[in-house]
Amino acid sequence: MISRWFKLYAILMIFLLPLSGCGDFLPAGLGDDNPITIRFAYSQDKEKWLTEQIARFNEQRITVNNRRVVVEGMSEASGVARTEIKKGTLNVTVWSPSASTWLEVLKQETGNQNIAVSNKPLALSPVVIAMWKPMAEAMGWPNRPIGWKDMLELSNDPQGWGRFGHPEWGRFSWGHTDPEVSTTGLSTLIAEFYAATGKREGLTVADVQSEQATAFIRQLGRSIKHYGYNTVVFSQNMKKFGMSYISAFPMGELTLIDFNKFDPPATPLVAIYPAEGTFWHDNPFIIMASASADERAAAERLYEFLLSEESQRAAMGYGLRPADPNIPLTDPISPAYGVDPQGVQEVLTMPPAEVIVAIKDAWKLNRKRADILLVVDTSGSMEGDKLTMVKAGIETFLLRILPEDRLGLITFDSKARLVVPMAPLSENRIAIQTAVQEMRASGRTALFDALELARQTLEALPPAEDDRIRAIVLLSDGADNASRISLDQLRDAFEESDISIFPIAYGSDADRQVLDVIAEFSRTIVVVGDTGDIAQIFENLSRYF
Amino acid sequence: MLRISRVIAGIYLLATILMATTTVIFGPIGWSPFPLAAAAPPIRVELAVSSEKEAWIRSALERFAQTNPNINGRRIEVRFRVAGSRGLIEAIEREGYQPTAISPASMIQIDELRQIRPDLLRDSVSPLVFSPIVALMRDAQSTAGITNPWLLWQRELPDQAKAVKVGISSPVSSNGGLQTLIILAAQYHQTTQLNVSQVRDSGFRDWLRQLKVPAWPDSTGTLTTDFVIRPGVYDIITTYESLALQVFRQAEGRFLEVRVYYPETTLLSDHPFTILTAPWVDSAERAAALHLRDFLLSPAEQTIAMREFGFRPVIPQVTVNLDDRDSLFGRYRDLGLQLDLKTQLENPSQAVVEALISTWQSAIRP
Repeated sequence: MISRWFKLYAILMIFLLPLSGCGDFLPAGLGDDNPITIRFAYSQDKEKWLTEQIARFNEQRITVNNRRVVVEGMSEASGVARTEIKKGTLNVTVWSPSASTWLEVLKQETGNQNIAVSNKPLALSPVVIAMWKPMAEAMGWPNRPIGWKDMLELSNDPQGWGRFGHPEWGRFSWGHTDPEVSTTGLSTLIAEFYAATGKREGLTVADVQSEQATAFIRQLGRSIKHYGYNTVVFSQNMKKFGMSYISAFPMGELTLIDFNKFDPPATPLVAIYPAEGTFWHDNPFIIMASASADERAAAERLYEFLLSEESQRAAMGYGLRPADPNIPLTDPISPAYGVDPQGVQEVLTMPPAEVIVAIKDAWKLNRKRADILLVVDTSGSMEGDKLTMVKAGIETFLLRILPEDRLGLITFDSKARLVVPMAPLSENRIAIQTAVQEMRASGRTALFDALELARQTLEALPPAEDDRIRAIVLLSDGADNASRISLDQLRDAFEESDISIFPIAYGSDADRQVLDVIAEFSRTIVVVGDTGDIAQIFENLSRYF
Repeated sequence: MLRISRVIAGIYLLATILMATTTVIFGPIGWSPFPLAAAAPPIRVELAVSSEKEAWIRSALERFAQTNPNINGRRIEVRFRVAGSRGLIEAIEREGYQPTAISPASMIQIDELRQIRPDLLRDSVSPLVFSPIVALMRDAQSTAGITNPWLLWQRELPDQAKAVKVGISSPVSSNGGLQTLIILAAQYHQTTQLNVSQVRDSGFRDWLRQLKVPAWPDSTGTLTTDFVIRPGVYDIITTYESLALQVFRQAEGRFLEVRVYYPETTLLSDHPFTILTAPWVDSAERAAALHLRDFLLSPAEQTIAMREFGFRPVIPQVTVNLDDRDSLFGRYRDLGLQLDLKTQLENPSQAVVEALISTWQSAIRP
């Protein structure tokens, strides 16, 4: 009996003594009380990759000086982040725009050359011209180099795609994103100025302001369908509407891979690496000078983590080229997804910051102008906060539209009425502002009549000296219940025109069905808004013109 | 009696279980009549190394740690900082950086430090590995017809030299950039011994201005990585032979076609290792750093440095074998590798180095 007790005792001691003896095991929450928080703002094109990697990093409970490192990620358009950092409304430890260009712009705009302490690439992607494969093949792809000058020639040719034996494709059309917020837009614009001057380096402010460059940019702009906020929206539209939407669009190679890889379209896009040269978007990992010593050390740990083989291979899965040279390029960086691993032959030299600023200024002066009709629902359901916030949103919109753009206002309830006729914004800004403030909600919803009135107004507008984007910004929360014309009649009328309608479905109770049909025949996408984000929606929308 | 024994045993067992449970739930408890001997603190070695040998040093330190290195039972812990060679010297001079030992790329930087802080350099200096400066050229439309980039950079620059994009690291912060500049100056003046008046020569300064160099990165390592990950930015770069051999391996997965080219007269980097005679380095740290140096100079480590990282060994027991297809030298022998270096330049004096950098600064920032 005793021996049995002793056996039991001995066994228990074997298991338990080591537990009571060994002292220094670390509680699970070590360092959690006073963590080092890394605020990490990154561009939207690498959001999927970084969201995943930040979660992995945080799970690893990495410590620096016995303090746990916690990363808070936030996705922000490169140009917007630079504006917010400049204004002091965005305070980050690490910033990763799509390209280092933005750091140069920030340095120039703040006059602070020491605003960052380090800048190393995370993953790379070249800017390419994404074109539908049959169209690219018609132009000689992949055997013939194609560049911006080919785009200009095709754009100027009245035969359009008939020049390459395909009149059924109509005129060449394209667009690009706003260089104020989009890295691809900025890179595209710089590349265009290089092409305009025939230079591949040494671009100067005088080159940018030359007549030759101005003429090139204006001519190239004639085929622009509209501008945009980011490449994602264009990419979504291209997938939805196919070849009839637009012929080509400059985008990061990763966006093109994403387009072909996920939910593959019937007709793929292929990457044209512009013959005149392109730019690498290096997705820099920028540690800001405002970071403390511990934050810098923690940020370095994050960088090491993101440069690890596992993380870099994950980046490649999303179409980014690894910054670690030891990782070979494999799928999806391959022809199967429309790209050529050896596609980049010529890279343009990034001009100095003052030239970049001059380029953006020149674009503002020479970009394609727009004729825009604001069509605003003032039916009874818009009463209260909705209408108040709409008024504020329109104010934001007016701030961003060029004075030369022609703008008008239609409001509708039971009846549609042209409240402010079309005129350059420089002439009718006060009239529009006054009319907006006087808007009152009442009555039913004559949505189709309002759109038809808008179409007739734009069609009747005396032609401007230049080619213009023609668009209707429609803001409504409900389905039509008072119009004289039908939706089918409206569709037929718009099919004959080149006017784009940008519908904003306003409020969570908005009737999407009709607005979706309108967007469908207008080759656009419905933007869903609410009282909280209407100002932002109007600001984003203003980037289209 | 037996009953009492059972009671005592039972109470003891219950007490043990209670203590063990408490330990599991609330953490360790207990009391010791004598203080337990604390583990001896590790000896920390802070090593400053130039960027082009980062990959070798990183992997070597992992192997070093596996040998359980210690001095009198105190574990040796090595941390390292990587930067351009001249950047490391500048960090010591201006930032108050306090490494135990340094290993820039060349004796030129040791001489520079000696100028500023002679008190830090009373210890011996041993070369760790060798590597000459070379040019790497990619096969592209812009480089078609160029037989050797060094021949482009003659006193009279041909038009083709102005059409190719050259990458050179900054001579202010990197040894690779500085050595390239020395070779170019020597080539311009057709000499193997540069003097101050030659490097201050206005003709040479104007010639430098005409070189098409898009950017001057801070380190040769960064430049060489950029050459691989951002094709099209540079057509030709100057770098170390060791990095060129790494590029050959990387290029296979990146679809790049590259070859290496040697100047008629080159400069050899000897990667000197020295322990600083500084107040912040105690005798234990000195002993630990010596231990590390001996490890890096061991035949096994020198063989790894040669075979896997493309450095030329400094000890006679290890030699480069071009027939060894498992080594980078053997694997890429046909891509322009040249083991026999006919002529080598002497490291110029500090006065020449300073004048050369001054000329370069006035050439790129007129």
